[in-house]
Amino acid sequence: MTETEAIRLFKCLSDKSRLQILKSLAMEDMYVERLAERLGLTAPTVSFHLKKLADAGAVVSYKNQYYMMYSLKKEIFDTNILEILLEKSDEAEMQARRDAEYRQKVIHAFFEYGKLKAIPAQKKKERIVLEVIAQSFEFDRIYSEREVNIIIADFHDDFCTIRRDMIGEHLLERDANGYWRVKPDCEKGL
Amino acid sequence: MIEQKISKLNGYFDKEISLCEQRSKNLLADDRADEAAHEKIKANVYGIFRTILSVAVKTGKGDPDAVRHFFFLKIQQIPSNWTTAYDQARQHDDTVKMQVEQIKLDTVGSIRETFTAIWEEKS
Repeated sequence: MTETEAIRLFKCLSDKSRLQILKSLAMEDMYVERLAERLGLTAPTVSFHLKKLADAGAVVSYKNQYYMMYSLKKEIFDTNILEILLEKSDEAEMQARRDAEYRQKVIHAFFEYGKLKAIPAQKKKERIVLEVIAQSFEFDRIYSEREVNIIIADFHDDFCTIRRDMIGEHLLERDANGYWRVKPDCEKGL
Repeated sequence: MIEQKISKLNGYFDKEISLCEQRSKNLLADDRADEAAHEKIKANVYGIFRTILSVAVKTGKGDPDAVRHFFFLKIQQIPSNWTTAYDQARQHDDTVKMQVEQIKLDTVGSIRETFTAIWEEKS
């Protein structure tokens, strides 16, 4: 189910009359007049709701002798809500572009001629800045603390704070042998 | 005489509008937004024809036949677009639009009946 389809379905379901119609159809297939009688609504009102439900893919109709019967489209309701949430967003590209633009803005604001002007107070901005500094470290290489400090000092004098924050942000890891750059999740499998 | 009829008709419009608004409020509170919107549509139609009545009274200048003529002219002219929209919706099997246009036409029908009954009423 696409994001647009999910929105249409959820919008459609947020109406008591339509929910009552679906509850009735969950028991058995029905025609308009029968639903109208059951729910205390006029037949045109039921037809109105059925059309909306059909457009949202929640019900289907079929002809049975003189009657147009309506039935629940069960496979739609078998969909797990989590599956819908995990669907790739139609907006994903747009969101990625906005994120990239924001990132560029932060880098532009905090770096001048390759030097960090100040350590951002905002965590989100600091993360971006630290990611930029982390690019100066190679993957799969162990650095001594002195080497780490020299690399960071190229960006900012307060290399202690930055080194500590890079560990805190899991951009660098350390043990008794030294420091190394952590691979991003997307690169770990490569 | 004519003042009495006008006042009766205005009372009718006010009452219907207030009933529609109340029903709309109740439906909305009951999570039936579309049906609430339908009641708003009815209220709007009553509102349109309450305005038409006041214009008819102004242009009729106390002549009951002139008022009647103006009102009936408008009650034929205005819904003609709604009838066209209904027919088009039916051709495209657009039940949602059909319902909206039908509500407007039904409301006009009920206004026409009430107007006739009050206007033809003998005092």
